[in-house]
Amino acid sequence: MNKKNRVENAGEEKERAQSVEKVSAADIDELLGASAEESAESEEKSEQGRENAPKEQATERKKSFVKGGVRYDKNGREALFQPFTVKDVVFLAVIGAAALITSAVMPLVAQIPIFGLPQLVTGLQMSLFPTIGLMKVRKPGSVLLVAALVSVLELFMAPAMGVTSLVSALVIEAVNLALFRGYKKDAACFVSGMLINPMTLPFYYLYCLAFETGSVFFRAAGDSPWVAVGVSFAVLAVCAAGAGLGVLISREIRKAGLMKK
Amino acid sequence: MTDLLHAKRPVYPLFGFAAALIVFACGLAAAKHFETIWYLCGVWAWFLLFGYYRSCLALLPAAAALCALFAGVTYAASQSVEEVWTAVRRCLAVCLAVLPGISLPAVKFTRALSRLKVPRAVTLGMMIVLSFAPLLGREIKRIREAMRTRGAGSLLSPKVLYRALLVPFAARLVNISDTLALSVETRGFCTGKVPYTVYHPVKAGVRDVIFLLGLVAGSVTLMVFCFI
Repeated sequence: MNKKNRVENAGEEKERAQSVEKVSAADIDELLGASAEESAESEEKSEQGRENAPKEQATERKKSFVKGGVRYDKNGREALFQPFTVKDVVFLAVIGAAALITSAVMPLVAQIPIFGLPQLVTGLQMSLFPTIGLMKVRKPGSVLLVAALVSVLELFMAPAMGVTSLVSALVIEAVNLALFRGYKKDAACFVSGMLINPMTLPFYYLYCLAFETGSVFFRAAGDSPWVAVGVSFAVLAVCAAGAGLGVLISREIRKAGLMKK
Repeated sequence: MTDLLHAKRPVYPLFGFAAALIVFACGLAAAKHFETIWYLCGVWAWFLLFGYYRSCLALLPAAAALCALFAGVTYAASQSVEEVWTAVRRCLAVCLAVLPGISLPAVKFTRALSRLKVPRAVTLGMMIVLSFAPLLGREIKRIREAMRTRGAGSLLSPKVLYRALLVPFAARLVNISDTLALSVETRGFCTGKVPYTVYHPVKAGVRDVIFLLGLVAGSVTLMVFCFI
């Protein structure tokens, strides 16, 4: 009798364990967004043999999933790179447009032979608006997205500026990931917002060196290097002021309850 | 960017984009040479021929004003007539490069990019950036009116600039983007990888190819005249 009971109990336990396994697999599939067919296929595949098991495990390990607009990694932790929602894209586009339109004064100083003068004139707005965008969206890649949107329009008007904006945005994203791993901290938003404009200066110089040696700015940098250095520091100072203002304004707006996630 | 300047039948948007790049690059590269002025006049006529007459005519006074400004600044800086002419040619090249951009309806550019399977985040963002300019202008005007009504004072004062202009402007940007995002979402836009339909696909035709080939031919001729 005891043996029979033990065998029955063991059978029940096995069934329970199998059902628990099935439920958990289904849950995981749901979380991963896989369809019912895919999960059935995966169950069939798992029964085929152990030869394919390591490969399947490897592919399962790589999977991350999105739930409630937040991406989680294989361990269920919040991933570093979050997907952009429509709200994020629209806000960053509006911010990019505001930065671009308020920088329309740039062509007025485009021919004045002082290296970095356009960056100095547009420094405040080009750091203020992106900082506000970063303070709201707070996702890695935000600077790159703003730069991509702005640079496409800049390419129509000044290809050099478009190219340098994109390259400098890439560098800023790399610096941000290395130092802060995202925009969770206000300091990260401040640093990235501050670097957007000054970072274009060295790349613009390199661009001129490669393609436009006859450019007004290139010649100006060569003729009076100390003026160029002074203006570069001034650009950094103005951009720091702009980014600081951006952080302050964002905090005020958040306090007013307007800046929701 | 305003509707008034849009061409009725603009060339294929990506060809327009290429045209802007070509004119800009060639115009700047050959700005020192006198022949460039004929090239720029030819480009203007070419745009006019392909239906860009509104923006071509609107460009004339703006280009004249900008050229006068740049010429004055360059003469003050260099005291050289040759430098002034170079600056004028550069300014004209930039003005002409802007022409396809201001004549293009934002939605056509977005449709062309959508057909090329450019990520939705980029096409959507670009459409907003292109069509946001007039709205932003109106918002700034409203805030200035509110400042006048409240007697906020001069914008030269940093405190007034921050409290009465920048904070309300940023708040309005947040509000506008929230409303816009809601509106976009209710129309079925999303940033994920889902199939979507472009109801009015934009395709390149023979006319567009002729436009681009003509421009390329002109640019190559200029380069040969100036540098070879």
